[in-house]
Parts: sequence; C-alpha cells; structure tokens
Amino acid sequence: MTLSRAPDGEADGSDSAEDAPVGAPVETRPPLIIEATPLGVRAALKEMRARFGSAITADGTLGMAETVLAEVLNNIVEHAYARDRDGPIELRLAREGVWLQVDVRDYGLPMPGESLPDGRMPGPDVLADDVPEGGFGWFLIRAFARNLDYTRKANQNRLTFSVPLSEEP
Amino acid sequence: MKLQSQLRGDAVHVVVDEERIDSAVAIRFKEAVREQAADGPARVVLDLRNVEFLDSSGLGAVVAVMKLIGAGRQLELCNLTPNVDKVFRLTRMDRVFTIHDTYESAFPERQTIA
Repeated sequence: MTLSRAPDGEADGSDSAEDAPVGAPVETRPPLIIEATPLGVRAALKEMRARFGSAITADGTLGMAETVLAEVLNNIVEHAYARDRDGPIELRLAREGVWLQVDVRDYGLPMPGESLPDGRMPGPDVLADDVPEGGFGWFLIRAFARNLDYTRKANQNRLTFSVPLSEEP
Repeated sequence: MKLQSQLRGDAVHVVVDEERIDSAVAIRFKEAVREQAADGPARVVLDLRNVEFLDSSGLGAVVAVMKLIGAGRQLELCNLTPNVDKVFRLTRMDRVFTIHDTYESAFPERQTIA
C-alpha cells in the first residue's frame, strides 16, 4: 500500500483568487498519508492529478505543479527519510483559483541548517566527471513555487507553498 | 523499462516507451539506455515522444547516460512533450544536449529519400 486516506471531508473550497495566496493553507480535509517510497510519490501525484488536473488545464495535466510536488516529495524520501529511517508523509492540498496550496509534513531528518536550500542551478559543468547528476530539484521548486516556508518543530518538518496549476496567463 | 531501438544511418534511434521517467525508474532507465547504446554508432538519438513526465531524477539519469556512453559519442534528444521540454530548457540542459523538435530533424537524411 502506497497511499491511504482518512474519510473524505467536504468538497474543495474553490474561489477565483488570481494572486498567490499568502499564509498557511486552509485545512479543509484530512491529509493524504503517503508512504515514503518512489511508488508512494507516484500514487500521491496520481491522486493530485485526479483531484486538480482537469480543473484548470485543458489537457488534464497539472503542468509544472506536478513537477514541483514530485521534487518536494522525492527530497523527503531521499533525504529526510534517508537510509533506515522510515515514516509517513502527510500531504494537504487546497485550490484557490489557479493556485494550489500545498502543506507537506514529515517526521524525518531536518533540512540541513534547518533552512531551505537555495536551489542554485548546476549548470553546464554537470557533465564534468566529478559533478553529481542531482541538484536540479530545488532549482525546479524555486522556479515555480511561491510563499515557500519551512518550519521544524519537535520532530516534524513542515513545508508550505503555493504553485500555479497553469503557467498560461 | 521498455525501449525500442533501431539503427538508422549514422545513429541509433531509441524510443522510450514509458510515460514517466521519475525516481521510481531512473536507475533502470539509465541502465537500459546504456545497454541499447553500447557498441553502437557515435550518435544516440533518444526519442521521448511517449514521456509525459520527467523529474530531476529522470533528468539526472539522462545526464548520466551522456557520461556513460563515452567520449566521442553524443546523446541527442527528440520529440519532447511540453512539460519535459520545459524541464530541459529551464535547467539549461538544452545547451548541453542537442534537442530536435521532431524525428525528421533528428534524421534529416531520410527526408531526401522520401
């Protein structure tokens, strides 16, 4: 099992705010509980497409919002729950106009320095032998996410942000 | 990991028959493409027409393939779907790889036959 869900709450609170919403996402339904594995991430993204995909875009995709969420969840799987660490990822999503508000919590290792990586782009030197192939994740997150906020409280990491469901004006 | 490869002139044409190249398949993808490209022509054209989603693990795997196929050989890409194209351009990897819009531009010699 890669995904579980508490009993469904109310329907999406959707109004037509065009600006990136500020502040913590509204919690209108129980979180998705995601298994911290690559297949758990896949299942979460599939659920996200089912809930929000057709709302905005003609082709039913989420555009780069899916990419941003994938990078955030992959980072938790690979770093917060690295090696023998294990635990759930809690995902809360709410739509406000074209913006998706995202609240992601986990109980793994804190971010290094308890702050967000700056997401510098690796650049063309990525082909040098001694440069790792990673490093694009935070760059992609920072390219599209707004109002990024990270807090570490007790043993919980909490990341909140907004991401547009369509890049078209 | 499903791939179909065919020798075409000076290149090997590798069509990726998967919808997603993400962290769940990145390592298998890298190994499979390397296998298809081994001991082949200098030019490897990776056709991503079926790939709707590629995350940073997938991007890293494509970069890794470029390194693995060895000096003097080139990895080129064609038929990128819109979101995959966006990921390559945003990360400036369009400066590292030759990206062809279409199959025809990746294999121009075939047009003269037609």
